[in-house]
Amino acid sequence: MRKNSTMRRLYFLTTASCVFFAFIAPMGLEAKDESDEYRREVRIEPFCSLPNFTSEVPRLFEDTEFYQISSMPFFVNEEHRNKIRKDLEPLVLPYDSLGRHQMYFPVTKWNVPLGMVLVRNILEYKYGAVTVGWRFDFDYNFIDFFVDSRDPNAKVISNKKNELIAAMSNIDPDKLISWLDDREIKLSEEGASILGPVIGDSSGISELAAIVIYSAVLNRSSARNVCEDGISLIRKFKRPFQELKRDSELAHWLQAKSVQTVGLFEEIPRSIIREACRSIKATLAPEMTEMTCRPQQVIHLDNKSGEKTHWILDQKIELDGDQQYIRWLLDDESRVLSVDRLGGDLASFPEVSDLIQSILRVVNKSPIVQLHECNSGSEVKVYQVQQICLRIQNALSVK
Amino acid sequence: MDGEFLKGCVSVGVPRSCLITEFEANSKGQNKTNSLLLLLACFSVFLSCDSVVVAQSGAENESLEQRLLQPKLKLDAWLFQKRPTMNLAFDLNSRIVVREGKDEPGFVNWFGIDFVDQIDWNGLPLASVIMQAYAVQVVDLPKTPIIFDDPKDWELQWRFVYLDFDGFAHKGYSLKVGHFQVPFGLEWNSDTTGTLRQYTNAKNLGVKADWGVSVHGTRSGFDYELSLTRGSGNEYRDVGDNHVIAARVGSRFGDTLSWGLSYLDANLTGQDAPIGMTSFPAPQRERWGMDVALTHTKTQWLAEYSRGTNGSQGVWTSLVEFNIEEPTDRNLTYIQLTGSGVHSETDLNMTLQSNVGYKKYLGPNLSLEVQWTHDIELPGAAKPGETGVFQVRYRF
Repeated sequence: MRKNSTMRRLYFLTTASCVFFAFIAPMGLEAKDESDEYRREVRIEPFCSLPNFTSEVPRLFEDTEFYQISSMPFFVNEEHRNKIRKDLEPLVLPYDSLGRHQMYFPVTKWNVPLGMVLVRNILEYKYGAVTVGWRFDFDYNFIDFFVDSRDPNAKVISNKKNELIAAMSNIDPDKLISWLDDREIKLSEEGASILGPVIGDSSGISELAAIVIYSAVLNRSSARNVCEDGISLIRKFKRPFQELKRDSELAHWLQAKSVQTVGLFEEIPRSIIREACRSIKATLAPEMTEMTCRPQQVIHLDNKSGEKTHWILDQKIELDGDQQYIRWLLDDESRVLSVDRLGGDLASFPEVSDLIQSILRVVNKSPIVQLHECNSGSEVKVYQVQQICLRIQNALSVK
Repeated sequence: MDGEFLKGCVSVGVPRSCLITEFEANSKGQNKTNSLLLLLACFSVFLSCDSVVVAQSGAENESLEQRLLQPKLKLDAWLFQKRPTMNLAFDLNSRIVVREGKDEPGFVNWFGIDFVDQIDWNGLPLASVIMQAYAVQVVDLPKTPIIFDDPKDWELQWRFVYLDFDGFAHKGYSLKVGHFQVPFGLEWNSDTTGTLRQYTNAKNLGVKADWGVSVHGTRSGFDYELSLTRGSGNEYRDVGDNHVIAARVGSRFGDTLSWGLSYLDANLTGQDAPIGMTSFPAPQRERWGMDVALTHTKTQWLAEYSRGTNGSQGVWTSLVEFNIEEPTDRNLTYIQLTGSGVHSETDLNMTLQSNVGYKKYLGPNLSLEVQWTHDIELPGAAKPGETGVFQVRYRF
């Protein structure tokens, strides 16, 4: 009898406690509204000590073909944390942002990185965890992002992400923190005045936009302060040409052109190529901007002697509904040395043969084509390729 | 145990001895009343420490968290120097189980190693390695799991041990080889291993993790996994034609409304009964299942239902859960109602239980859990009763 009575009391005590924590305590928390900190996830459960976001990365590279996703773990220690804290001041940096993190790099078949992605979970939001992933180029510019949250405003922000990124590109990235309120999770007056016309000005959207901006600043700061050594290596990524064994076709092709295949090989990141094409197209007359510009890949061959460098551009073109690949060889002054159809057998493709002959006539007439000389499609093609090389050279020399 | 944590508990008048559960409890030879008081006192510690943490100022709170995190951060920093891709954690746990009608409390303690690494091939990602080896001790549990030989015993338990060839996960397929979770029902989306909160897989399927291979990934917005395993559970053994074929396909779990459909066909080796069972009455099992999760801000409804056969008998299993998780993801409260039935030729044997549980994280590395189970209906002559469980878990 006494046993049953004790058990009953215990049962009611436990049930009452659980009900208290289930219903009454959360009400207290709701009264407090949202937290004033951008917290990170709990990491006690197995595997959660290093969350894997590999499957999320392709969402930020829909415009880019890549082979696999490589990753680089990095460790935030107290020294790094102090640097990140300075970048984020006056916002609070939670203690548990120390420790392990993972940077993701989609890479080509030759393991050349095309960009980098850092993903974080931000907690203490009224809709639960918010997952934000940011894609950067190797100069830490914001390229793209995704935000996952049960908050309906996540879709609104996702639909306006191009406008949001454009607004962010108009300000010094180090000043972005001024867009955030330093006491609550919401945009500051300055941030709201800039982003309000872009994404709307409801309080709900302000809170989620603040989390997106916060993670952008935090991720950029982490990448710069912790991964700089690794990223600078990637930026200057070069490997001996002998490692190009897989592309024997390229090696044979270069040897047939009497180009030494001894030296350093560098595949140019697609973000740089894309920027170069975008700027070239902006200079062309409207009727010419529809012409294919962007190469599938650009390879820079830097011979060990340092005297001669070559550029190889593989470009996809469409002729009479068929897709063809053209390979260009240029010297370090952007003079076209050779043009071929990839795959040989030119005789079977008279349209391609005509195009290549036409290009060679342009090149023989003038080794460098100027914009005002672009009257035919062949001249535009040569101009585009030469300009791509020049602009990539400039971009690399700036770095 | 963290000094700050103990200091906080003592400061609110809770005896320190409650935290060092097993040894003192056994050595004092408590009777059944004492064991109930032990659970009550530990639960009081639980609530009191919770209050202490909530009441502390921000600075002190961070200090507690810093202390809890320090060993893990030091280990991680050292590991990072040795091998940046390697991740290692040590898992310490103590669980007290009090069952109505049983004089002494039972205990489950474990020390586990959780190892995660990545393998590259020519500089490109090839596979992830996961290895979780646990030394588990049981002491006088109300129902001793069959993998243990005696009521007081130690056993090496393999939780998840597998290679996941995930180099092309972004294209929607990966290949898993080893000992992994059988894809079925709600369990597929959350790992409940080592926690008091459980779904129905262990009892319903007869196997929760198994040795074999699986293909999994996300295609066109749907998660899927198809596995072929041995049906031998924790150990690797053969009885002829033993197998488990299991598959689950479902929508993305993070959505407000997510769902999943599952199928299982099994011929189990029949030697590793899951927790809560003493034998396998039916090694041949077939199941069709569906699960749903509805999430809104801090609250969530979970439900799963499956039916099929154990040999020639028709069976069904269901679970409904309502839970509240604070935005910090550090406080979880849940209420579950689980039911299962076996149709014999003349009768329906039904089991119906309710679970009320609460989990609190004191920092990212330490969790406290309590759960109370009330038997509403048990099959045959079994007498319904109450079961209380308290667990402390620390990973570094």
